[in-house]
Amino acid sequence: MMVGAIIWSWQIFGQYLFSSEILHGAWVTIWLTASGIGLGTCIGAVLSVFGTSEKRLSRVLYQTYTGIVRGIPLLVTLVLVYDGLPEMGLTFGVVQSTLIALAINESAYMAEIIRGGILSVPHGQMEAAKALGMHRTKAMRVIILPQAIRAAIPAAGNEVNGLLKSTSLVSVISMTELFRVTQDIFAVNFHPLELLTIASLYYITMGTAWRGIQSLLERRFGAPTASKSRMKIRRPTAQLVVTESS
Amino acid sequence: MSASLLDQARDKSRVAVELRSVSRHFGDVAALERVDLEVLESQVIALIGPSGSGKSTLLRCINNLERVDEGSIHVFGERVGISEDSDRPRPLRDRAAAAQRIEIGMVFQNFNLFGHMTALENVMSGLVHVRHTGKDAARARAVELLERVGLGSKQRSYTLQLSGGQQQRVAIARALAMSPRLMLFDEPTSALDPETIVEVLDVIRTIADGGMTLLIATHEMGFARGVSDEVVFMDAGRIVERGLPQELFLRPKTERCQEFLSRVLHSGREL
Repeated sequence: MMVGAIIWSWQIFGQYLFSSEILHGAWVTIWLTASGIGLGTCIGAVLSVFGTSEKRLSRVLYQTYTGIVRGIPLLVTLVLVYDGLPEMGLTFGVVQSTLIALAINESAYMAEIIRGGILSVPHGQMEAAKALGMHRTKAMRVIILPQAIRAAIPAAGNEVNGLLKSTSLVSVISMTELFRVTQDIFAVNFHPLELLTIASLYYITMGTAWRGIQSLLERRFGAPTASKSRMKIRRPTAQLVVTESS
Repeated sequence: MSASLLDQARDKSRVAVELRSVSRHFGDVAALERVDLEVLESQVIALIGPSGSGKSTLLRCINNLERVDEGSIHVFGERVGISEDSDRPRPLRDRAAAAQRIEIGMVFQNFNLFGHMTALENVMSGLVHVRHTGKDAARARAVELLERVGLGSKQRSYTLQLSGGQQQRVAIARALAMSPRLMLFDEPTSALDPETIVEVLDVIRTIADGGMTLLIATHEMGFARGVSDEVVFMDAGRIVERGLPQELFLRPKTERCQEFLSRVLHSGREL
């Protein structure tokens, strides 16, 4: 092993830390994560209804889909969509391929997360909805899914955190997100350590920020009943103060 | 046409619920065994009997939450859960089955209030999502019903902020909002504390006085006796005895009913 002089350059680090390329890359990473989770949640919500269906065929189809998709690494899916599908005459651009691969991949994971949420909703909720005259699809949409998604927020938040970092994989099909931007820069200036440190700092910062957002979401939607009941406990205390002062 | 035939025809039109030889089995257990029952409009029927005697299954079959293995159920003349349009009867499709339940209100033992909705939203839910009533009209009706069950001040409360008795009253208001012609109460007070039972029973009593057709499965014998026009005693999936409350409670004809009543009445529940 050769130990050379320390070549870390604060100048390079400072030059690129808030450079427009890096900021743009970080922004692309954010919207890729958001789109991946957004598309994944929409498709996954529909899929999860099949996964919890009373019909065996629906459940088998669901298990096949999620089994296949979750069985293939995201990296492989990406290359498959970008380089593989053109052989079947389906050619997509870089951005399209990225979004398609992310949507397919996330839909399977989000479907499993939402299915878990659906199973956590007591059976009586569906019965009460039916008793009011709702058909299954309506009951699913207005009664079960809203509660299932709330129950699924912690697991879904974890998924966002994971995808935030997994988006770096899309650099392989030359999608210019944060990791790709840093690679492009150090390929020219030969300062990989500084640039990868910068990329890492961005991932850590975005991940930390997401954790804050997630805890806000959990407080807002996670348990409406529990958080509101805290307010209820506070109210008598206020009344007590009023009676004492009067 | 003779007078008796006319009477019969008139009576037939007033039949709210008709079960003909209904059976339902869970594995080897017969939850219902060839049950025949006729309930006239505006009648209040109390279903009593030991746990597992088939009271709940009977109610759940009437609004098709439970399918029937054999026999037929008609509610207001309409066959429940089965399409008779074609030559071969077949189970109704989901939407048609749902439409049949609109006029049948149901109140569950465990309340089953929608957890993500406030009390007001719970009461509005059927109007908004099933009857497609406008939001404002639905809200006005829901407020009125919550006030009627004594919970006007709890509009914005979520399930966990309400006591069991309050939850059940919201659930009753939610069922009433659909203006059902028939209401089924599946042991509405069995999951409640003794002190909150009364408030729920009072609400049910006012509904009964309003002339709606009610079927109430209950373990509250005093209530059953006071509220009902007729009492049906069930045991092991069969209707063992049916009669006027004062007769059935004071002079039960069958040994099993006598045995049940003496056991229940001597275990602390007063008539």
